[in-house]
Amino acid sequence: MSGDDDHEALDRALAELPAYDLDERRSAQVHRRARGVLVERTRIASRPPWLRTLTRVYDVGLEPALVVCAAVVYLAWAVRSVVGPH
Amino acid sequence: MELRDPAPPSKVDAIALDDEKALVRALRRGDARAFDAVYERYRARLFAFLVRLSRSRHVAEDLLQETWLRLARHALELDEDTRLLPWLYTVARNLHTSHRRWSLLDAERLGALRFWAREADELSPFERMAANETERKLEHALAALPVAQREVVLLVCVERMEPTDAARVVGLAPEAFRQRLSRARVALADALVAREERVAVSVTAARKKGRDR
Repeated sequence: MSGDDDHEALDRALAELPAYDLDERRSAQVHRRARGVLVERTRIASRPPWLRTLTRVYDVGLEPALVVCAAVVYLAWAVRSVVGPH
Repeated sequence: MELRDPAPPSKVDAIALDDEKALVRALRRGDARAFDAVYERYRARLFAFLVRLSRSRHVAEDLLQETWLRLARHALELDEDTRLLPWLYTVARNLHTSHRRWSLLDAERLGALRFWAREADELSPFERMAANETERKLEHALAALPVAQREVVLLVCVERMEPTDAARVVGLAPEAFRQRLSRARVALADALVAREERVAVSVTAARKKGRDR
């Protein structure tokens, strides 16, 4: 196949390929999840600026720091209890 | 996988949000109804694009979900002049590129590249669903193209996107995009011819085998 006419025919055939959709259940699942994220983002964005800052500080700094601290303390305790108090 | 009209009608669209700019404005306010409308309007096209691009229904489902999550996360920060469809295609295409990079690393690690070569001869999900022989041939030829060529053909010829928009989606200058599209069309046409020849050879071989018996 070569030439502009052939390419036009090919383009037409490609344009007529059907669009498919994922099944309803999966589609609803994807939609619900993404919608939930949007609603949550909007809820956070509608808070007063100081509360938004506080939330961000907690989400980005405080919460990860607390999780790391807890993990370190637990690890230290676990190692000490295995090795013993020598 | 269900067959649907290319542009399914949306209930929310019919009520008020029929204009893309209005949709973007509403999304920037965090209007969930606008999100529903955008989802209804574009999900099938985006899914079809991702399945054809990735050649895997499962990968496409995951990438589709991540694309919509990205829109949900960034809806409030969209520019007012954002054009939703190119934006969504750009995100979907970038996610596919990242996914592919990781898949290639995995494939190398597993020494599975031989299986990839075989994959081109297997039926893609769309080929299995294709309603007629022409569609099947086209889907097979599309699937056989290298990803860089497949994505430009999909965006312009299948999704009917303007070449300038499609060039932005794949991050190419318009001229470079035009050249790649031209090469991709030739490769697609060649792939169709090669498939015809393969079919003819296998039919001849089958007939010969039948006669020998």
